[in-house]
Amino acid sequence: MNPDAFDVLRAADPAVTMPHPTPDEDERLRRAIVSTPPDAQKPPARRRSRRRIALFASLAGAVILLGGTGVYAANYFLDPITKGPHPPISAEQQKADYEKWTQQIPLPAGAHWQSVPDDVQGFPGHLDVVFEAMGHWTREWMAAAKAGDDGRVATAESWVDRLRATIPTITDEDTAKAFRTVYGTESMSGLDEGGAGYFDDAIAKAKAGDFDQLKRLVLGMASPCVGPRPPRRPRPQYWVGLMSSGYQSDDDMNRDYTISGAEAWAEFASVVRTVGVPAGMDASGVRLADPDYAFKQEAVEKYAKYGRPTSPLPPPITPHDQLTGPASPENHQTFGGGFEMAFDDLWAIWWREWAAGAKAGSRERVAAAAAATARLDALLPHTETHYTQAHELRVITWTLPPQQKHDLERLSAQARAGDMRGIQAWLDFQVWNAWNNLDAGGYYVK
Amino acid sequence: MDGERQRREERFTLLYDAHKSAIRAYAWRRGPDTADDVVAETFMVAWQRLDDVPVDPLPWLIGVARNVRLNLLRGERRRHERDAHCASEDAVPSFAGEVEARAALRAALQRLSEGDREIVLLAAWERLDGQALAAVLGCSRTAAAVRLFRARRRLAAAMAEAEAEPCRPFPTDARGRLLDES
Repeated sequence: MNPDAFDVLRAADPAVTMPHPTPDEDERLRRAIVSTPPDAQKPPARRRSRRRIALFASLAGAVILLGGTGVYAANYFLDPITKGPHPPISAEQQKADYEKWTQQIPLPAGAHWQSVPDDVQGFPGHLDVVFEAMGHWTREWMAAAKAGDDGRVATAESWVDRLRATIPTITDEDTAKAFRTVYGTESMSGLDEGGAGYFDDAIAKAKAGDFDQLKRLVLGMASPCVGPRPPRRPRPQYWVGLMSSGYQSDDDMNRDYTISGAEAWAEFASVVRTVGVPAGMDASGVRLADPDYAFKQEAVEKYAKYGRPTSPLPPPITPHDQLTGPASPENHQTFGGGFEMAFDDLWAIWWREWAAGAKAGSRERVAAAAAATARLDALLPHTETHYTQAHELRVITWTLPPQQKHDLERLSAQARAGDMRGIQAWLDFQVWNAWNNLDAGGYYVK
Repeated sequence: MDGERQRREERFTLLYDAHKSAIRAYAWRRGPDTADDVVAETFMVAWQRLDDVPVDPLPWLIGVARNVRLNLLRGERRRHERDAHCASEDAVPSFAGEVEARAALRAALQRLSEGDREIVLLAAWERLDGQALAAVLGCSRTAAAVRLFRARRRLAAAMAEAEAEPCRPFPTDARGRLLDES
């Protein structure tokens, strides 16, 4: 036998991750066994232990999440701006405000108001309510158009128009004035001029029968009204627990896991080789494009279209250069950084390919994307955290949060069955996210 | 407690203390969810049949655990579980080698027959020799040795093949849907 294969097999021994029962647990089992008469036939089944869950809980405090930037943002790409800073309001006040507005705006038959958002922002709820209603009426509009019911179409269209009319457009001058005031008490939230133009354009297209832009808008603004909110972008997490006594903190331990750019690139490239890239891409990964660049480009183009020039985007940077090149002058990476980046990039690349392949009716491209997604999924095969007790009691493993993994597997399964809506919604959200990041990153020139 | 019962319990306790970790590891490697059940039932069988336990008890216990596990699998609907939890362990910086080795290993193990996979893993993970393998599998030592030799050769070939084709597509049907590999 190839000794390397045998070494790999032994190195992959799952028992390394096995949590050991406590002496008390061992003793309880022994007593349970010997308490039975020797001729008893039925052994006492000890049903599945939940020890791992307990271990999970005990280690949860030691979790380190890497790569928190660029994830699914809680704010949306047409981020409404407010006339001025408001004094924070209480949850009760917010709830009252939300309820006041919901009583004034009707919804289509069968639609219901969502509950007040949990993440109290401290702002009155007028715009939340308007967007939520807009979502319901847009869904009604699309359904009526599909059913060819002109009466319902007219009603829905009229309500979308009326709702849009309630959203003020806030000029730069308004904003400047408001910021010179001290905590205005009124709620005058609205959209900036670029956002308002985009919104109006979406409504105009919907009236012409093209709902795509409006649907994407309300999906971002009030996604529960038009479908399930897209799942978070998958990000492997780096779990650390059971630190060696030689470390005083997680930071101490992480310093020990600093790797070079070349090592991080090796991680990245290994995932690329294992998972593969769509036909026509650079299979070595060296020249693999930044998969988010297209999203950013689209966002910049949208700003430009609505008269909001932005500073030019810097040229795309390849993952190779990002990890090893001048953009990383210290050539200083963290253990697993390349792995995480590859996972993130390849997932985006392959799901774009999946959507494009489905749109083009290419069975081969769809099959390749489904297979690559399965390979990515298999790199992080567990739905719960496992622990590796090794390397001087440092416990290191990768996982996806269970809900993210569940969402991704669910959307993949839907897509394999021919339903691309989930993956498309996920992709759409990356555009909104890119828009947000651009704004936050200072590219937006007012 | 009478004397005979006490001596029996002492013998069992020695057996239990000496081998519980190995049996648990055996069971965990093949199914973490059922590991506790397999351990409990294996040692219950040992307690019931203490007089049958041979001088070298580990292969015998593994054989019992193997049967217990197979019974559990028959009793429940077989869980879809890709072979071995090869991709869960990380202990050294840089995943580069790990990622590729695991992918190839998983692919190679999937290409082996159930019988080949079992004997290779017993040899690799439980580190059983020919005599012990024979005891676990209920065959002659010669038969175990021949089976192991062939299985190792096939694993080496499967590994080489998997390493040469790291991007082998997962099997799909005509509509491009992934096929269940279980």
